[in-house]
Amino acid sequence: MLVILLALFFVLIALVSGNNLSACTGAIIGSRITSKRMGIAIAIAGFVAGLALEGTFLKRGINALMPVENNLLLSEAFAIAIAIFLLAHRFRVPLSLTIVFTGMLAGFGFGMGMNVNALFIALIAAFWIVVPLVSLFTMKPLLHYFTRKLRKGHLWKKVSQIKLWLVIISFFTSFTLGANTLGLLFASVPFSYWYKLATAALAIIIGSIFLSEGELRRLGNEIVSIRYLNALLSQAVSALEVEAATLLGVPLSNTQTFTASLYGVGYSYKARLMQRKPAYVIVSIWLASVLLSFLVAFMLAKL
Amino acid sequence: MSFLKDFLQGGEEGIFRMCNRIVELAIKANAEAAKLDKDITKIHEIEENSDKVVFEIANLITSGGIAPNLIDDMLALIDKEDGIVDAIYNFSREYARYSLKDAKAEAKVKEAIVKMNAFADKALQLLHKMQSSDSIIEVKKLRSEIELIEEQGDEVKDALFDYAYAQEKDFKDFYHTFEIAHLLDDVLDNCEDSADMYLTILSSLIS
Repeated sequence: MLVILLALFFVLIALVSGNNLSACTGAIIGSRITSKRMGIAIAIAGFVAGLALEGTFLKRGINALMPVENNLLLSEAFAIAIAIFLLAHRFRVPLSLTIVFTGMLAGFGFGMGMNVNALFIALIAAFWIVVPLVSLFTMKPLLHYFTRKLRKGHLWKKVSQIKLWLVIISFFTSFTLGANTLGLLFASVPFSYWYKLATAALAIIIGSIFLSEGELRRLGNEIVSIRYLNALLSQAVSALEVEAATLLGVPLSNTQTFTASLYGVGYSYKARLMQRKPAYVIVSIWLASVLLSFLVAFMLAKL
Repeated sequence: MSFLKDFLQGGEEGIFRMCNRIVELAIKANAEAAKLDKDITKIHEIEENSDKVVFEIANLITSGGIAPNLIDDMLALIDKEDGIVDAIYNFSREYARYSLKDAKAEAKVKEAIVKMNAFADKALQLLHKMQSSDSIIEVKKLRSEIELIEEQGDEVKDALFDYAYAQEKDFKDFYHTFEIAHLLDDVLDNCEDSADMYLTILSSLIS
């Protein structure tokens, strides 16, 4: 059972790394600040660093959702998450593993009649609803403030600074994703720290290199034409929110916060031309995935 | 380290410095055109050089470190700047092609040409300064000055139109005067469009 669990852990880490790479370094790759290869390397470094330094912080969330360790249920959760993920990958939807996996852990917890921490679940739900809204509505004042500030002084020096900050923030976003989203999986498996870190690092490298293409295209091109300052602020707000959630042990979807920030950027312009369809698709899939994963896990636990 | 060097140098800044090469060629072409020489070989050479520079810059824009959302605007900018040189060349061709029969009319057209050439030179110098500037506030100020020059050019053009319509001319004389006025105005229009496009690109870099 442990070997199967390890294999599933490896596959899921690889899938999640590839699927989320666009939200971390898609902006610097898409705006050609770095080459694609360099952008992927920055993401890998961030994922591994986040996992190594803060990967265990999500243990609090795991304990609240599924207080009793059960390797069989955990393997089932990984297998279902992989199946759902592959479907999402097939249709190139930036699906949130955090939502799917958290929904499943809660489903197992309730289904098995475990002593689930309802207060913590309420905290998670509050984070999932409030934080994207914060992302959405903070972008306008932030963008206006920085635009005014940047108009004064040496223009090219400021453009270079924005680019440099964008690279730093992209790394930080990758770090927070490693700590939170990957940390959720990392904290759930029962292996020794170094053993699972080595496995996860290898999976991150493989996933980031081979499974990131579709999402890079979607987030970079379909939602909004990313300008440097837009990308910088949306990444920064999103990463800070995920880091705050990590420190509290709350699983929070990086894709959710970043996409909300991007839409916040779009809505902060007086004249805008944005595609609404991708937003509806993304939100619908988020909602469907949490409900579906909870129900499937709940029924499996009841069998 | 090469990627660090790339973005700290700023791909866009390098491209704009190169765009000034087109403006410099336009200044040169305009100075040649102001001589009102019927031999336009030099201006033709300058126009060909400008095409080469545009091709070189377009390659850099599409294959270099420029954000995709800026590529179209940057290509439009160099196209407009090349349009300045083209308009000067076309004017010179038209001027060399035909001479008005009436000496008084010829003097009137020459007077307008001298004025428009002076406006074009001023606008091009400002455009050059704009593309060398490191301050968006200064860029905005220079753009307004170019706009003002273009408006003054419009008045000279309209005065020439009025004169052409008021005279009893044959078709060739009328058409030649009309065409000269249009082509001279194209130079200033392209200067103004280039300035607008440049400001749009700069604004999008920091907003």
